[in-house]
Amino acid sequence: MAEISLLIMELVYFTMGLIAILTTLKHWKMNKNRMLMAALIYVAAVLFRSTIDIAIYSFDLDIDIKVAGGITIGMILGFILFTIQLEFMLYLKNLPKLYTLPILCSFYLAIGRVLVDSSMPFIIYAMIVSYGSAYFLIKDGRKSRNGLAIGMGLFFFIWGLGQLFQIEIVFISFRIVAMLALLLGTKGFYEKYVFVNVEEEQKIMGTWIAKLVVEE
Amino acid sequence: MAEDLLISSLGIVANLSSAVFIPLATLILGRNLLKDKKETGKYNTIRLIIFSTFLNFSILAVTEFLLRNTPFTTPFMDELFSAEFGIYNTSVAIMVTLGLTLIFYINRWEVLHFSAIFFFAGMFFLYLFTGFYAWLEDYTTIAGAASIIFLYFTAIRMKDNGALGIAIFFTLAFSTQFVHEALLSRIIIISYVAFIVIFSLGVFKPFKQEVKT
Repeated sequence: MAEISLLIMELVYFTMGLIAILTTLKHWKMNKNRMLMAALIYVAAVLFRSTIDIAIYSFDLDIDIKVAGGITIGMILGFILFTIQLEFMLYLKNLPKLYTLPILCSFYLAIGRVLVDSSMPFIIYAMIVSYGSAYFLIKDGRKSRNGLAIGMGLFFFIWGLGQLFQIEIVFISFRIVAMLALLLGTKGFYEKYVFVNVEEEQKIMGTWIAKLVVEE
Repeated sequence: MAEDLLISSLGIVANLSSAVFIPLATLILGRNLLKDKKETGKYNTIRLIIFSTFLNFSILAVTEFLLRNTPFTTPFMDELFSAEFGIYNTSVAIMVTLGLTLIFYINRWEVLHFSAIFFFAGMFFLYLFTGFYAWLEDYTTIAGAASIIFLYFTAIRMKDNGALGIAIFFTLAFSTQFVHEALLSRIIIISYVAFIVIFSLGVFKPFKQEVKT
């Protein structure tokens, strides 16, 4: 029963991700913005991980099989996802000199995990990547009034926050909220309702008051 | 008897000259680096890499001299010098890493600029965390050989005196690892010390017109 509810939640998460991808693809076709392409690749990687989770809940698969030492298939997938996430950040920040850093970090963390059965370095890495990315994206997004950046930032933040809970249902709930934040970002929600242009608002208000005065 | 005396005398000359002239050459390179910074307002990355390589080699030469030729040695210092990730192995690895970084910079392979540094730093942290060091020797050998080959290749292609100088220095320095003949090994040490002095004084300029990098 629990597996079915988890499957349903995962399907909701997947569907929202798919809508986010399609919306971003539509926008990308219009303006060919490289950030949109990077976001597309990242969300596609997230959805790829989600299809594996759907398979796990549908067919009761076990991805905690140890490959070597303490490293599991699930952890390898995690490494790939974090590598893509950090590459995405470096791409957005236009830091090509650091492009090899995420690959080498993941490589050494994986080797470390094979040699020593401790997940602490992986957790530290995941937290730095998640919260670091979230901080930069939200900061940049606010400055440039970019809803997609805010959406991605919130996605990383909430998703990372969810990782703290080891209860699967809570973790997936956080993921759904994270995907919702991203979906709103792709739909232009933040530009419309969060970044209210104060000057424009005052201008409209001023015109309205002026009209009232004239009528009187 | 006479040969032994010659070998031991050359050994003293080699060690002493390494400990004196290599730091001196490093100081000259450091002064040039600062002069350049004063003129342009920023550090020249290639000069900085060359300076760091020599600074690293100076630390190695002075430490080795103090440990091998003076009574200022303790078991702790000796172990610190010759441990798996001790001063000696780490210094050599840092030098080859800087050699690779120099190649990436001169050739403007932007994505690879820091890759050698990241690779080595990763290996170091892996050692601190797990105690694993098996790759260090292989890395030093492979990266050292790659550095030498690519430095010659880059130096000829770009007509770069700095790259050629480092290539010759690396060739001489690395050959001591494989030469087991005492006399020959000491002659090589004296020759690279002499070469470093010539290089740091800016006299070594086989390419009159360098390609701008």
